[in-house]
Amino acid sequence: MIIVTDTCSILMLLRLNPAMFCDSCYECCTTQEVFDEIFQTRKFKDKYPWRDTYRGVIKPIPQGHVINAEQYKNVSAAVNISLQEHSCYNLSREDKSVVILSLLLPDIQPNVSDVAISTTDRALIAFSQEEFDLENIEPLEIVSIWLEKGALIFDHVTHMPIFEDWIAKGEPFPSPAAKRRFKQLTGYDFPK
Amino acid sequence: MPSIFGEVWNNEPSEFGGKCIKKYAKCKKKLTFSFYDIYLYIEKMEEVRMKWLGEKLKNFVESRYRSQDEFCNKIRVSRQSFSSWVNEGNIPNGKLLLAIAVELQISIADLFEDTIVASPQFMPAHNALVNQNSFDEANALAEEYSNIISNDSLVFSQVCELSTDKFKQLSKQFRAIAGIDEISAMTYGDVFKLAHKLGICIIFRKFSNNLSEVYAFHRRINGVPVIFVDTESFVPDLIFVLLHEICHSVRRNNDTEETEDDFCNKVADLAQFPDNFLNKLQMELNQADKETQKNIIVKYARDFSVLGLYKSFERRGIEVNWHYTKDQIKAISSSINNCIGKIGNILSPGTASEKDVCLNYYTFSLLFFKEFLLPNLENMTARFVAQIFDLSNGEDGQALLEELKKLRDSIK
Repeated sequence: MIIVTDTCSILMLLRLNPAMFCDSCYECCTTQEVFDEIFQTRKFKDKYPWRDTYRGVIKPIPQGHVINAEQYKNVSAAVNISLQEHSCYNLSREDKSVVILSLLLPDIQPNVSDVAISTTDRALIAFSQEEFDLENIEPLEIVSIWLEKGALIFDHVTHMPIFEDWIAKGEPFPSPAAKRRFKQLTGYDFPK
Repeated sequence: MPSIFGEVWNNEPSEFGGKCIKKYAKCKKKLTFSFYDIYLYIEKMEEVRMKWLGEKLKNFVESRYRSQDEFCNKIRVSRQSFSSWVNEGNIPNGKLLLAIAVELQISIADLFEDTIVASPQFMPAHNALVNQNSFDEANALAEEYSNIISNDSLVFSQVCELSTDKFKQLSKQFRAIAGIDEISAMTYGDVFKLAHKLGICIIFRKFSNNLSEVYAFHRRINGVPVIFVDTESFVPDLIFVLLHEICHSVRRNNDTEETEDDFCNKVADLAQFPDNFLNKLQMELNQADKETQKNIIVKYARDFSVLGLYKSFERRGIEVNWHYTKDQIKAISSSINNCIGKIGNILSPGTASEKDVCLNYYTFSLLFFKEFLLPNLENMTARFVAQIFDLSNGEDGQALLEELKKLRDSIK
């Protein structure tokens, strides 16, 4: 599986696992638009002062680099037409880039069987699901996937403060199912 | 009252500015323009929503498959779904559109016709206007709004035919609609009021580099007339520019011998500065010494572009005994522009809170806010809000979205 991660998910996961984009075992990728947003939004600099430390480890898949131009056009058209004709949502450029890359990935990497997105944005989740059957995997679920695979070893001392910081920064709470799975794997409750 | 008026006129508005302030203060307090009669102009012929060509899909399928059932099996849809696409105009969802394109080996665009954003059908000549190179850029900007601007609103249920065969008639109609007498110059407030009464949305955005030479442009988005204004435009230049674009927006077609732009320039000029106003000002200027002329210029500089005024005299062949050369007038105008500032700085000054920014935009983009933006907030991501308020290099759009919701709730 490959998970196309949106800005909010990256900002929640990156400190837990700085290697999330560097090793395919973590199954994550992102878009150039999301990368640009993370490093060009001034408020992120205040809210996440550590972000610049991780500039070198976020590796977006460059759009149009290895993608068939005709397919890219078709996918973009499908996303835009869906937005115009079927949905009541309004997605930004970055939102759309996540969907577009998700749809193009099977062309870019033919050995990829499943593609999902990871975001906490409800409109993006709903649009992706309704129009393209794209599954959303919330950030804590991704952590559980890594833990289950043995790709991440949970360290209560270093990782729990990061989760507490999620809450302090006002990030969306994980779903009850995600918290249950996390507890099953680690024995720890997600902070309240 | 938005701080623009206090800042621009140092709390001592001119006579015209004062009129405008009173009217806008009244409206802002009422939070409604219900005391206006709203004149509307709908053009149904030029712009067409993206049209699904179900028949074309049928032709593709019939030319490549033994039966429609064979195609349906390939893309795993029911015969009923296919039939609804072909016969009832239903459009497949995104996933199925892609599947159809892959299966038939065509572009999705082959199954559609026209665009949602209607571009003008003429080609403006001047560098300061949208030219061929920036057409795509302007369309792309307009398309960002195609999901939230639609013609379902009851506001656009009335139609008014505006006489467009002669520029004098049209400019007179503009002034009448804006409620201005025949001896006053049009003010900022008047031109926004005119746009509102004509059902034209005004949207302020920072234009990209490809549009950097453009002050404003107009488009129809799902049948709704919209004028986009560059937030980098200087405030004094706005009146003429907006009147020009308003003229474009209301004209059905080019029914004069002149180019469309020349016609709209004439309308804008006469609507902004009626003959009576210029004649009266001519007398005032001709009787004035250099110092007095300077004071007159500074006085009117609060209300409109001084260079625009100079050019208006020139265009109409009205002789003024200027104590200043044209270059000096240009320099004065430029320094006044810098002093008053750009519309973007007034809408969103660096120190403004999200609440103030909301109120500023609400005042100057009232129709867009009331009819389209505020009713659709629940479907907007914070990032989209940041995008349309040009916050991508600055603040998180979430705070602004929350303020917009508060504004919406306070209006209800």
